[in-house]
Amino acid sequence: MTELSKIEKYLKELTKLTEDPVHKRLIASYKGDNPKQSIEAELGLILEEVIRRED
Amino acid sequence: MKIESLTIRGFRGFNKEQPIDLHPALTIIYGPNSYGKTSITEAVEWLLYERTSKVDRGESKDEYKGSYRNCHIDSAISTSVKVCFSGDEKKTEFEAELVGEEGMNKSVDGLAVEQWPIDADLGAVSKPFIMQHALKYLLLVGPDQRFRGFAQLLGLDELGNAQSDFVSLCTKPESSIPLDVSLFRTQIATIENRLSLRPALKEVYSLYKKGKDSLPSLTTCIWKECTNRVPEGTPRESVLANLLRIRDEAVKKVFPGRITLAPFSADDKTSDSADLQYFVKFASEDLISKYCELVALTTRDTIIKQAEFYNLGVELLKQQPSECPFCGQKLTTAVATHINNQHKEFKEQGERSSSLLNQRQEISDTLSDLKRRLDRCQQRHMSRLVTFLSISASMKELAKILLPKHEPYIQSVHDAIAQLQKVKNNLDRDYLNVSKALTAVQLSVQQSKEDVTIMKDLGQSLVTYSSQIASSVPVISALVSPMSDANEILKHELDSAAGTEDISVLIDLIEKQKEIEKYLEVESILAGLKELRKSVDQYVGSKMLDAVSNEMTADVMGWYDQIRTTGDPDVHFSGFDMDRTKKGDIKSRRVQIKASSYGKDLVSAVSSLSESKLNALGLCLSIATNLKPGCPFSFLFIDDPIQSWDEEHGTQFIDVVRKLVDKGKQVILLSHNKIWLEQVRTGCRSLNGYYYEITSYTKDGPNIIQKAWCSWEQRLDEVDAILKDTTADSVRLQQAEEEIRLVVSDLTSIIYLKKKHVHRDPNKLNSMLVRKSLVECGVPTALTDRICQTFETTDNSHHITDYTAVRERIKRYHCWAHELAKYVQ
Repeated sequence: MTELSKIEKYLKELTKLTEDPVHKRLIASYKGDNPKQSIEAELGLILEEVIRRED
Repeated sequence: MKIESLTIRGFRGFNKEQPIDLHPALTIIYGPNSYGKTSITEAVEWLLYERTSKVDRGESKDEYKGSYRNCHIDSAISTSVKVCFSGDEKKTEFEAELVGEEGMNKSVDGLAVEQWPIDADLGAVSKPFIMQHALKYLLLVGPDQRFRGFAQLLGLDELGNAQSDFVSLCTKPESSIPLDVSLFRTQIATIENRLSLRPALKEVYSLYKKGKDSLPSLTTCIWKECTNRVPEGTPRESVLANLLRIRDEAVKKVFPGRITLAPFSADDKTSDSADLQYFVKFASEDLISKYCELVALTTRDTIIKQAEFYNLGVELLKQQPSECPFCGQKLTTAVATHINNQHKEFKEQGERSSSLLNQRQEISDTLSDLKRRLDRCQQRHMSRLVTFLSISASMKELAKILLPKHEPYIQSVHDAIAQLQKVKNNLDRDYLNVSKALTAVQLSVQQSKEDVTIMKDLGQSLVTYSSQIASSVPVISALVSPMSDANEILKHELDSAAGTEDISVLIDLIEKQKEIEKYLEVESILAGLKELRKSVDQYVGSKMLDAVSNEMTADVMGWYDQIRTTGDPDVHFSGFDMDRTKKGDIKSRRVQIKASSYGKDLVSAVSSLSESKLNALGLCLSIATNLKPGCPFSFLFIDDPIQSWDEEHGTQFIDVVRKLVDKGKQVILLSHNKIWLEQVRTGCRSLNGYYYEITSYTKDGPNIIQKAWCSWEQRLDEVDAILKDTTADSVRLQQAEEEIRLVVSDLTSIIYLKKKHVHRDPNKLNSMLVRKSLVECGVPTALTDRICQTFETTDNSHHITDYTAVRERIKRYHCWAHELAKYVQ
């Protein structure tokens, strides 16, 4: 198993502190070459999922 | 890792390649301001981190663009920095070559590498560089910048960046909201706005504002309000229909029309795309060719009759092949062959005409299919336009309702009618043309009067019609939203005039119940971002607090106390903390630097401490973080540390330098203060480090000259003092012996320069080179032999085993050194 980087360890700890699944998803999406863009895109995706949901 | 030497070429202030050897304990570099001192520090920083903190922190990146490369360097020569590291008894040379403006090619001992082979996360440990601009960056800046500076210093910068990114997302989520979600929110917010203006629906609004958690109560309340407005006993499933009926009846009395311009649905778009493609490709070469082939069917009847005639003849000939069955004449072989050939040909022609009949049927079917598709397409577009344009007959009444309050809306409806009437006329015209062309083709097929021209006309009219449809779509689409807005305004005005506003809002609430649920969920997610921000702030704050408040405070305080002088007024740094709210929560990104005076806490160190104390504090902060475990570097560059300090603080700092060396750090000290550097050399005499002076600066770069750490006279005086000190221990005696070796090297170098006019670096002389040099200079052999003896007990290799400092031996060495000194004098 690949060892977690320092920031990954911090984010893991932060995830444990929140119970909101949306917040957990946003924190988990903080990765890649442009993590800021990733969380912004993830928020957009979460909102689109809500409005496109078939009931 | 210590640095043995570094070589700089074409980097920042350096043009021509210059090697600089560094002493394992202390190297001092003097140079007036702007003589390229900081370029030395930056060269090593750039090599290790691929960028310098000066560029990193520059507010305008453009101003620093291309600043790594020296502006005078020959364009054919590359910019490079080489650093020879020593550690674990081996040397490794790192070389960085600038690529483009900011790129870097790396190699280790001549072999290209992707990353430096350093066993540590460089982003997580403090940089081994203490620079003035870095100190100011930590203290005399706004809270956020200070936080970033501390985060970087403590290896928390990635976490600090993550916090910034989350704060940005949570405080300004609008930029991350997709367009369809924004439009959706605007649409539902309109209902919310209307609801807020209905006093009779106050309870509904109040529950609505409570958000998604109150959805069940909200739904109950809405239905309660609805049932109150329909006849008693109306079943629930009929409530909406009743409300619609009540509203429509009331509104129709005021005005029966609507401004309706339906948007293109996804199905509409799919159908259009398929139809237009079909129309444009309809009159293909293949179809035209098949269509033209049908001309052959005009002679079909004659051929069939001829074929039947020959069939009969051939059948009869089977009984009497040599006689004509009709007249009984004898048939020649040639005639019989002719009959058979004719029969065969008519038979084949007959078969071909059957196939053509099928072909005609297929073409007829294709034309019918085209007709159906055309009608369907026209209907789809016309119905939207006709529905909308029906309002044009009621514009006078509409104007009465909307004017003068909503003049822009009535104007936009007028404009839309004009535009869409034109679109409709064009579509009607082109549809009529294409219909005519189609009918002509169909008739030609029915009458077997196929003509390539009319088929091509059909193809052309289809292309024109398709183009008209395609160009009408964006015109209509652009008007959908403004007409929808106008209709909403009309609806509100009609509701207002008919007294059906409450019912109208309730209808929307029921019809859009699912959308409202989704809207409240979206709003809840967006509102929840505040909570996420708080969690991130508290978490990052607590991490920073852990890092700054305990160990770091003690470490920094320890170093700060070294620089405090007895005469200082009692206004001092008293520790680090994080700012807090009244509730005790950690404030976001605010590192507090505490200060106290005579036992009382001051507001902040930044506002209370003098610049010199803040400077000292910044220095201590950097030193403390550099000494933390985990740092792979044993060297520390300290660039102009004593700016704005008084003399006493400067003197105190010399002890700090010595302590850093004692702790195993290789210190590289750079300053423009020559007098202070002399004091450092005196204070650190026994370290016998390297001393460089930058004597001038030209476009070739700085002129760096290595100078003696101290004069040979000073060294001999020191030895003399040690020998006279009867209490001097073995360590002091060993120091005296070491001084003699340095004196001998210095003297040899000076004699050689005088006699041979060649400089020999005294730091690189050993017993053999000293002997050779002295012999060449004509120093008597007996004295040369004695001088070389001094190396037997002072060369490093002899110190490893069995070394004992012997006072008498050192006295002899001292005398011999004085004898050699006479050759200099």
